[in-house]
Amino acid sequence: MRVSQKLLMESTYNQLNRAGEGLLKLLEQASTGKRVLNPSDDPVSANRIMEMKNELSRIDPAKRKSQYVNSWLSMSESALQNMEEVLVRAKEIALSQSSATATSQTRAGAAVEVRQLYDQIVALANTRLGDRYIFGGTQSLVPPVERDDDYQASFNGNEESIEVGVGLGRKVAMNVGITGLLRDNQVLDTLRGLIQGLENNDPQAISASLDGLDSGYDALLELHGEVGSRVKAVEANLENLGDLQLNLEGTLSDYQDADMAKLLTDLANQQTAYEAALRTTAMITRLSLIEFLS
Amino acid sequence: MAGIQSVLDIGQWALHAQQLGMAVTAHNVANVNTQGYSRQRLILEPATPENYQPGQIGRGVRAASIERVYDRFLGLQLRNELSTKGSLQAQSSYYKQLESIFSGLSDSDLGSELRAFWSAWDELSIHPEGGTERVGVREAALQVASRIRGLREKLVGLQEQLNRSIRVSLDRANELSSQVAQLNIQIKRTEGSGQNANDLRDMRDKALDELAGLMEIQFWETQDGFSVVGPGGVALVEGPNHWSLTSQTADTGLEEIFWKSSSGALVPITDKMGAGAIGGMLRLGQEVVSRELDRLDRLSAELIWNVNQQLSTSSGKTPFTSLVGQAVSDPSQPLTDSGLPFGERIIDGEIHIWLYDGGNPPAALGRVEVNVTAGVTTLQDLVDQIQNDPDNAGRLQASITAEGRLNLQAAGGGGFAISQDTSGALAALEINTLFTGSGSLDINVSRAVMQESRLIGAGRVEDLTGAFSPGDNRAALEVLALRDSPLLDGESLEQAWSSAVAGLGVEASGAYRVADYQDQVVEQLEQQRSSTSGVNLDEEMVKLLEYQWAYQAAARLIETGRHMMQSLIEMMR
Repeated sequence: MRVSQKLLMESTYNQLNRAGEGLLKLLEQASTGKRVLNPSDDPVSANRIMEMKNELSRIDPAKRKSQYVNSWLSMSESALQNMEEVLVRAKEIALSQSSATATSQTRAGAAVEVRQLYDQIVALANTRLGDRYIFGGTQSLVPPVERDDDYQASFNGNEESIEVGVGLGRKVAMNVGITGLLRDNQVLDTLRGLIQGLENNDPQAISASLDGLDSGYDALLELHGEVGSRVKAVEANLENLGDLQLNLEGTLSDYQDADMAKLLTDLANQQTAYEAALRTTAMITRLSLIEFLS
Repeated sequence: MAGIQSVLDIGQWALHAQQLGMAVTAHNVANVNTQGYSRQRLILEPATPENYQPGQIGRGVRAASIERVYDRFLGLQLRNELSTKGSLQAQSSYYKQLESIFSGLSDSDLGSELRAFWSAWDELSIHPEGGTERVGVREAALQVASRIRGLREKLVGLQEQLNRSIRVSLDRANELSSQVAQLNIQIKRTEGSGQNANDLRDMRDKALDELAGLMEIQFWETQDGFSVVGPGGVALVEGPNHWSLTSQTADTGLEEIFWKSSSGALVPITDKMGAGAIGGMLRLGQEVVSRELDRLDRLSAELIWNVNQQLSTSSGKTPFTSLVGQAVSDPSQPLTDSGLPFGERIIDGEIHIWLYDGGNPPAALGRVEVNVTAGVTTLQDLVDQIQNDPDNAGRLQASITAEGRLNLQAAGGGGFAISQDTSGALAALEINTLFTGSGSLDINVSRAVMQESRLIGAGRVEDLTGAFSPGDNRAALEVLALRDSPLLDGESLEQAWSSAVAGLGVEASGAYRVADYQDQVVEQLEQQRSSTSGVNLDEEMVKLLEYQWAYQAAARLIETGRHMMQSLIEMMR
C-alpha cells in the first residue's frame, strides 16, 4: 500500500488518541474506585446497582425504626414489671391485713400505702416516651388514666395498635393498650375496694380483693409476655437487617467497585501502550528522505 | 528536418517539461497537509514524430496534462459512510449529555430524592404526632418537586440545544450547496477552455463530503457540473442553481425542516431526513428527549395524584379549623370539567366530613355527607350540600373564594376532619393534600403545607364513629405503601426511574459502540483515499531528483547543440 504523509500522521494521531482515551478511562476508575461510572459503561450492572441501592436505602431507616420500637417495647416491659411488683405488694398487704392479727391502726396505715400503690399504677400507665403516652393506643397525647379524689379512675386511651413497618416487609404493633387491663380487668377498681376495705376496717372486703388482685396479676403477666415476645422478634429482625445489609453491600461492591489489583495492572499496561505510541511517533517523524538528502 | 536546430528544440521542450514537473511536485509538497487535497501528477507524452529517412524521428517530449490522482468510487463510498457517521456522532454526543442529566448512579439523582421522600414518610409513620417528622416530609417533598422541575428544565434545554444545532447545521448545509453551485460554474468555465480544474474539483469534493456528513445526499455529474439531491428527493444543487433548507420550531418544541422551492413555497421534509448529523439530532429529539420528558411528566402526575389521594382523607394532630383548595375555572361547571389538573380522575362517590368540639381529645359531633357524581357535581353543589346537611348545624362553613377556591372553615371553636372520599374530588380540589400541580412543569408542595407543615396528615379518623386519634399512623403507612405500588407502567416510581436510567444506558452504550465502529469504517476509507490521493514527501523528493536530473541532462543537450552549432560556424570562416 502506498503510504502518504497524511495517512502516516493520521494513523499515529488516532493511535495516540486511542491509547490516551483508554488511559483516561482507567484513571477515572482508579480515582473513583468504581468500575461503573455511567449506566452506559455496563447497563446490566447499572441496573443491578440501582436495585441494590434501592434495597440498601431501606435498611438504615428500618434499623432506626426497629430500635425505636425496641426502646418503646422495653419501656413498656419495665413499666409492666413495676406494675407486677405493685400488685404483689398489694396482695401482701391484703393478705396480712385480712388476718385476725391486723388492727384498725395497721389497716389505716396500710390504706395509706395502698393509695400510693394505686397512684404508682396510674403513673406507670401514664408512662411517656417523648411526647407520647405509650399505653394510650392511638390516643397518645392525653394521659390514658386519671383518677379523681375518690380514687375513681377515668380512661382516655384506646386499645388500637400502632403498627409500623420494621423492614423486610414486616409489620409490628409497637404498643399495648392498658385500658383493657386496668378498666376491664378491674385492677384499679379492686385496689379502690382494698383501700375502702382497709379504711373501713372490713376484713371481708379486704380478702375479697385478693381474687381481683390475682386475676389482675395474671392478666398483667400475659400482657408482659406478649411484649416480651415482640421484643425478641424485633431484636431478631434487627439482626436480620444487619446480615442483609452486609450481604447487599457485598453484592453492590461486586457490581460497582473496581478490582484494584486488576485495575492497577491494566493501568500499567495501558501506560506502556501509551508510551510505546509516543515513542513510535517520535521515531516516525524523524524518518524522511529529506533528512538524508543534503 | 533533423538538424541541429531540432536538437536545440527538443532540449528546450525537455527543459520546459521538467520545469513543469518540478512545479507540480512543489505544489504537491506545499499541499501535503491540505484537507481534501488530491495529489497531482504531470502527464508527459512524446511529441508527434516527424517522417524522415530511414524512418520517423522523435521530436522530444510534450507536457500533455496535469491530472489529479483520485478514486471516484472510493469518494462515493466514503460520502455514504460520512452521512452515517454524522448522525451517530451527533447522537452519541447528546447521549453523553443525557446521561449526565440523569446521573443515575450518583447519589444525587431523582431516585435518591424519591428514596429520601419515602424515608421521611417512614419516620412519620413511627411518630405520627411528630412536628419535626412533618417538616422532614415537607422538605423531602420540596426536594423531589424541585428535582423533577430541574430535570424537566434540563431536558427542555437539551431539546433547545438540539434545535439550535439543527439550525446551525442547516445554515452550513445551505452554504455548502451554494458553494457547490459556485464551483460548478467555475469548473465548467475552466474545463470548457481545455484546462484541468484539479484544485476546484478537490474543493467541490470536500464540500460534498461535508454536506454528506450533515444529511443523506445523492449526486451525479452532468455537463453542467454536479447535481445534488437531498432527503426526500428535493433538489439542492443543479448546475449553477441551488435551493436552501429552512426550519421552524413547532409547538411540540421539536424542530421541523422544510425545503424552499424556487417559488418560495415550503415543502416539509422532516420525516425524510435519514442519516447525517441533522437527521440524527432530529431523531434524538423526537424519540429520546420527548420520550423522557413524557415519562417524567407521567411519573410526576402519578406521584402527585396518588399521594394526594391518600392524604385528602388523612388527619393530623388536631382537627382542621380551615382548609382552602385549588381554584376552579368556573364553580358552576362540573368538577370533572373545570380546569382542575386531575379533574378527569374524579369518579362517582361520597365524601364524609366529621365535625368536632374543641376538646382534648376532640369529641365527634356529627358527620356531613356529600355525594359526588362525575361529570355532574359542580363546586357550587358541593358547597350547598355541606351547608345544607342537617348534621352540620352551622359548625362547618363552606364557601367559594373570589378566585374559585373551596374554602372550609370550622365555626364555634370546633374543628373538622375528612374520613372518606371515594370520589377523589377532594384530592383533585387539593383539599388537605401535599402536592400541587399537574406534572413535571409545575409540581410543588401545596401552599397550605408550605405555610404550616402540621397540616400534613399521618392518621385517619374512624368513618363510623368519628374517633379522632393523633397517634394513628394509617395514612402514613398507606402513603408508604405507594412506594412499592405499580403506579407507572406496572412498575413502582423508583423502579420506573431506574428502568429509565438503565434503558438510557443501554441505548447510550449502543450508540457509543456503533459510533465507534462507524468512526473506524470512515477512518479505514479515509486511509484508503489518503493512500491513493495523499502526498508522500519521500516520493515527491524522488520525483524532484528525477526532474532535476532530467533538467540537467536537457541543459547538457542544449549545450552540446550549441557546441555543434559553433563548430559549424567555425568551419565556415
